[in-house]
Amino acid sequence: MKLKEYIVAAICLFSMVGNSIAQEGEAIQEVVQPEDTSIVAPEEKVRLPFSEIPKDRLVGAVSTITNNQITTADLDVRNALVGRTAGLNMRKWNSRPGLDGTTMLVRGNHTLGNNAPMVVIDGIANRALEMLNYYEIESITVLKDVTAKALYGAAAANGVILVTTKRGKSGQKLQTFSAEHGVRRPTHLPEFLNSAQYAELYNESLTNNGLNPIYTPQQIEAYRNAGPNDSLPNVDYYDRYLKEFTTFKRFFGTYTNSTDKTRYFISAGYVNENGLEAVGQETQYNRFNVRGNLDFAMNNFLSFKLDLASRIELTTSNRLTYTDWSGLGFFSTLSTHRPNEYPIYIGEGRLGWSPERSTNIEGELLRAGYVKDEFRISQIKTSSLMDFSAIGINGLTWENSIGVDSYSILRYGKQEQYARFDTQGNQYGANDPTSNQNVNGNQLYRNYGFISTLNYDLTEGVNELSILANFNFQNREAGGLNQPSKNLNYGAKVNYSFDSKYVAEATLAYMGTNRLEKGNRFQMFPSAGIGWVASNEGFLKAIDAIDFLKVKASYGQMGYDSNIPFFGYRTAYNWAGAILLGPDQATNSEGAFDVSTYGNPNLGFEVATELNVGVTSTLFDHLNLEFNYFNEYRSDIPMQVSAAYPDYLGIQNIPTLNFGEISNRGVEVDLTYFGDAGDINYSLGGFYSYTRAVYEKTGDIVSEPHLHRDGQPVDRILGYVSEGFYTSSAEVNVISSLGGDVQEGDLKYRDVTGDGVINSDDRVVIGNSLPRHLFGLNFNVSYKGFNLFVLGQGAAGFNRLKNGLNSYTGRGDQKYAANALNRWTPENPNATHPRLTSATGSAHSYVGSTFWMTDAYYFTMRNIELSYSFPEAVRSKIGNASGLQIFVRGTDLLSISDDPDFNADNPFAGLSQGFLMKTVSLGLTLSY
Amino acid sequence: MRVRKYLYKILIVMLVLSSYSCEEYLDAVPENEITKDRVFTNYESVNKVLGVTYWSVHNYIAGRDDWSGPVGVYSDECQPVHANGPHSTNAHTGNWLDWTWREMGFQYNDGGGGQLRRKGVTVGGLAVVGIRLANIALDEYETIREIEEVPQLPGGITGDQIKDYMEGEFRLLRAWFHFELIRRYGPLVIIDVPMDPNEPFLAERERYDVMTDWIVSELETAANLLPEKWTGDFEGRATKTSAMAIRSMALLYAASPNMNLLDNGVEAYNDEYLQRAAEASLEAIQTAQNSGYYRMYPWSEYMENWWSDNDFISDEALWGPPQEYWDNQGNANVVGAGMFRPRAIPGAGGWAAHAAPTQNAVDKFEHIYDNGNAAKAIEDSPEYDPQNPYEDRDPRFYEFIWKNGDDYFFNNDTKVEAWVGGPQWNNANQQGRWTGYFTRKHLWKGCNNVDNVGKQRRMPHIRFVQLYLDFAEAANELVGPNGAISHAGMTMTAVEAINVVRNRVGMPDIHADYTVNADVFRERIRNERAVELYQEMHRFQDLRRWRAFDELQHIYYAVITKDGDNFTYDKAEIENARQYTDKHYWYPLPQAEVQNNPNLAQSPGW
Repeated sequence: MKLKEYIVAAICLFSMVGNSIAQEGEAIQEVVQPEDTSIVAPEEKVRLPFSEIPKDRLVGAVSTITNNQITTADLDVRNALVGRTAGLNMRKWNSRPGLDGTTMLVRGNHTLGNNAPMVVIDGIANRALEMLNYYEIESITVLKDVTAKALYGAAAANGVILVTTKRGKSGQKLQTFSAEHGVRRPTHLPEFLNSAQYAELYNESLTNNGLNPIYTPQQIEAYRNAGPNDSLPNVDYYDRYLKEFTTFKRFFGTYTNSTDKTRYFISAGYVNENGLEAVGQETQYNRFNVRGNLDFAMNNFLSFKLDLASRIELTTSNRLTYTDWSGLGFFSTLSTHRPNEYPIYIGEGRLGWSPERSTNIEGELLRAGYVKDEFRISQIKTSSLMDFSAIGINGLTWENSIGVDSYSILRYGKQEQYARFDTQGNQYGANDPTSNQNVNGNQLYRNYGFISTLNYDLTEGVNELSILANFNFQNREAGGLNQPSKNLNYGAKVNYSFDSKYVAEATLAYMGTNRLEKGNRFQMFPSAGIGWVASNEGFLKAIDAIDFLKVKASYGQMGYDSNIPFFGYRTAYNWAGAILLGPDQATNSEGAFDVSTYGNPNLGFEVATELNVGVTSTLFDHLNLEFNYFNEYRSDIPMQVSAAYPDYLGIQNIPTLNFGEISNRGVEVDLTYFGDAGDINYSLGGFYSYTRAVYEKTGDIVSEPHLHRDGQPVDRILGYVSEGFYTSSAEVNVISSLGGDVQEGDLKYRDVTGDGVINSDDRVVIGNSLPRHLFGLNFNVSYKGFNLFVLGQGAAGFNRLKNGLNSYTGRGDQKYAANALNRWTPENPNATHPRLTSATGSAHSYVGSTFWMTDAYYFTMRNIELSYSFPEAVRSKIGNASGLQIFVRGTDLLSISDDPDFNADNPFAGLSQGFLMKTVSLGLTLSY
Repeated sequence: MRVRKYLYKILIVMLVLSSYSCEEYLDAVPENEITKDRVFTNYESVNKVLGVTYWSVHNYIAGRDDWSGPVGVYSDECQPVHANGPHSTNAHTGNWLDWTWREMGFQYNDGGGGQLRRKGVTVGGLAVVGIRLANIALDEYETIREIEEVPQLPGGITGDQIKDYMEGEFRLLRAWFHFELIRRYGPLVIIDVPMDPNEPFLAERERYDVMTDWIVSELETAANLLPEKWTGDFEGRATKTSAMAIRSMALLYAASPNMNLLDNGVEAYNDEYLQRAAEASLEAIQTAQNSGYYRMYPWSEYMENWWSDNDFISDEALWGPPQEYWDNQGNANVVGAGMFRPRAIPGAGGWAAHAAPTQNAVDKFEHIYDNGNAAKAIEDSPEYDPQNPYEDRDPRFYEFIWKNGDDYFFNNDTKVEAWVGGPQWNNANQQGRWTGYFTRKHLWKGCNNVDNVGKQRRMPHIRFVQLYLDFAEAANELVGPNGAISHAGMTMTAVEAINVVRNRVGMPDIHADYTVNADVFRERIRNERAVELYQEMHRFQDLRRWRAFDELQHIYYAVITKDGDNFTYDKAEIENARQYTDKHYWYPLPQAEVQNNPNLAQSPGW
């Protein structure tokens, strides 16, 4: 056969509609998962890259979250992981219909630039977790230490979230239908001043700066009783344009069945959710998704899997809200348009005009057109699995998988003009609702993966040996990325256990990336681990209290490539733009004009060196415990070290060097207690983690040693140290470079350098932005048919600055926040806001300082679910249903923090981004 | 057996796939792999590199970020009206190490002009970029000489000629950028080869005269390569005269007290460099006169120096940044115009941060008396009336500065009402400081939002007339006001040179009272220079090279009081206007530069 035919044959092979053998003893699906967190029985298998291993032979740090722990009233499945397990740092960022901006970190910050973990779904890397629904997920495994991650290659060093979707189980037949309805409302609303208050305070700002007030007492009086359509208006934007709450509906059905040779899991779902806009077209989000996971056994030797998943999301919104996805639209308008800026309407149907803006919010919502967004995802994966025990080689399997995902985004809409009128009746702009619908964006990108794995398991008496050899490649395209990220990895791993007491493991990962030049693009990284199951030693077996006790350690290195710029190794010239000298200046665009990038031909991998030491234990038959300490050191982090290149060289795009170093240390503790008392079963679990990453080498050149990043936390907040207010102008004994004049009521900053000038050199590390301490608490109790689940999550040891939030400040010509009422005046020396200023640029008292910094600790009731499963007496009346459950869920309902009006997850939520939401839902699940 | 058949097939497929994957899979083909070889074997590319190098010459009036403009506000010419603007808070407080933007520092930013048409906001940042580009091109010049394909060029220039001309231009530009740096920061390092970014940069500072000698020799090489003039689309590029003019200016700077103090410890002019400067200016005048291109505009066309209806290129500009072809789009809102226009006048279209002329500047314009036959400084003129201060002044005054009572617009009756409490007073007060005058030189009447008259704007660095001022300064120091210097077939005295400058604008000859000796005449030469080169970014550099910051001790604004239709005129001092000390005679290097390179000493006094 010719090459082409082999390839055709291969494609046929992999795309055959097959399924796989029901693997005898595929333990993961048979073991009944205990109620909680990462602690599972020792003999149970843990998912690792390309293999599974019994828990007692694991040497690394891995957490597993099973389906029945994934509960949230939020749609975004990532939100169910908030507060779930140690080592996973989730941050809710904002919320929009259909998608929450939740970010994930595994073990905190590791490096400069990209700290995001890799997400692997069913073996295919770089798939998005938020694309899944919770009912499709079988389990989520967090791979934290180097031995667990290394085989996934150079994109995996920040941790891996390994997700497995549900599959059919042999002998199981199950149909499930579920419906859920709910409401969401913002967690906090910012408070701003009304027109009269604003006018009074703005006058004060002007007076403070030696200028004349611009609002007369008569005008202020008129504002006091004004409505939104008066010529001297008073508009409460959040009240007028926001609904109290928004609603959603979710439905799904699943079908699981099996025959001798086939098993399958099929699901379909629909979600509808609306936006918060009270005027005009509210955002409408509709989502449809289907999945079919099929397993088909040809014979004892060969089996196939075919996984198909598809999802369509349709979003319709007004143009203003749409632009908020990039932070400029609806919410920014609410938080920046001043209450007296323009009348909404000036006469019947005539929109008011503001001399300072080209928009009127009502016009934007009602008359500016719309945007529709269609997002389609399809994911296909086929696998073949060969079990060589069928031909006499016991314990040897070979699995090959290909995954192809495609993403398409189509965005189209209409942009229309509308007229506005000033108080004299002059018209600005024309009403023009006649524009055509246009395509605003059309993107198509793909993600491929190929995996080939040989696994060999051998048990001879007390010796247990597992050998794995793997070859995989990943190819990720993304919108806006010129080059696909490609990785190609070879890996081998040996795990040996003696007498169920001593475990040793070694991994070699040979990683390749397309971001480096030939010759540098492959590198070998070794790692190894050991484990000692002490509870299997005779002297501990006698102790009843200790059911299981294992001590483990792992150490090794792996590469990281996501911070390496493409083509960072070569020097290239720009080729664009018009000729500047001579004829044809406007038309001749031939020729290169300058170096676009200076290359570093020696550019190589960023290297992670990691140590993990841990203890896994089960005590008193009821208490599971896992403890890990980690110490990670990143070196050769790609950086543009400006210090290495004097400005005097005139180079704008300096080479990238393997230069930076960052260390990251922490501890993690997971605890679970199971108990029962009569009919009551309960479990109580929790975790605590501590992480701190520190710059070790940055090459900074700084004017003052205390500004040098080396030795300081990577999430440092630099700012001024406030020592209270100046109470008189005579006290001001420094020159401020921070903007504006300094007078009484301005902040007195510590002159750290003692030079009589307050400038950026006087900033010190005043805080840090990533929580040092994370903890979670969960509680589950069931009694007869009732089940109550509560999950709380907390964070502490971090800070946020409020000076950049217009919900806390009022200055210049901004919208003024209610906090401005408590500004400094001689009569109000204990103010929460400096004296008012009309300065519009940067101003002395409004830069980041301890005055504006808050201790951002919080504890939030992330999820609460109460359910009732009906007894058989009821179920038998509805066609012998095997299950009927009703539930009520609540997410983010309660929170404790220093400032109840402040959301530490994202202070900008509701100001320039979507709100963070409280969610309550009610639902029903019926199974047959 | 069936199993073996599957196995066999699958194995083969796997082998095929993996042998493909191993190496080629990771090959990344850049979409635009453009290496040096491709750039310097192509005429258009060389031309474009040269174009970008030209665009690294700073243009003070067209930089979007030069607002509240370096043109004037560092010296006694202008005051930024924005009290909280950066020039007030950093430059004028003397806090220059914190001030690495616009006039100072090496920060690079294309200034909004894009990578091609750079309007970089720091002079230093642009200069070092220009030096790097010129060095890359000159390093490849043998390759460039071998380019065969050259398109048809205007004026019948041949392929070999243009390669000569371009080499001259690269050399001239590189020399100019070095001069831009050393006249600000003191002598630095001669960079005449492309720097390898992967090698450490550990050079030490040179002497000022050594750097000047290198600049001068480069300019002489360039002069031999460059054409007398360019025609057609090439007009405005560097010529032989440009090289000669920069050489004259660089030598005069090297002769100046500030530079001489640095090199030789003597705070006085350096005679050797004065002689070379005087001769260089005569050579440059001669080259310009013989070029068949350059001329001094007569008074009737005088303002063509800074703006014009139809011609991009000034006949008097011997050297300057490339002209703003793209931004002068026929209306008043040319880039940067806002920084010269009064915000206080509704419809003028000024920015919050604009520069306004000081009383100091106004007082430098002489008073004409004796029926136009004589002129003296206002304090010396027998007929000057302080309560009628704007009558019979140097004609340049009326062209350079808007004063109280002037009509500001064509299309409405708004006048400049600069009196205390006047309609513009309160408004101006809200924007900060008030001087009672507005800039007119870099604008034309109608350059506002009401009239919206568009013209082409220019900001030459060296005008023809400067050669006479340069010569007069050098000659007066060498041989006194009336001593003649002969060189290259020309003979001229300092007084003759100054009268060329004055007579062109309709001013009478310099008054005999002022030419009695070199010391008296020096002050008048400097006054003439301040008036003629007003707001052309010379005054501050001149005060520095003369070490004459005593001129900046008092900065005044006009206090005009209105009583009915009568005005009374007074002046008052702006407090703490220029807090400069001896160290401010040089700009400090950004601290990072010094820390980067332990061999590179910080500027004197810093």
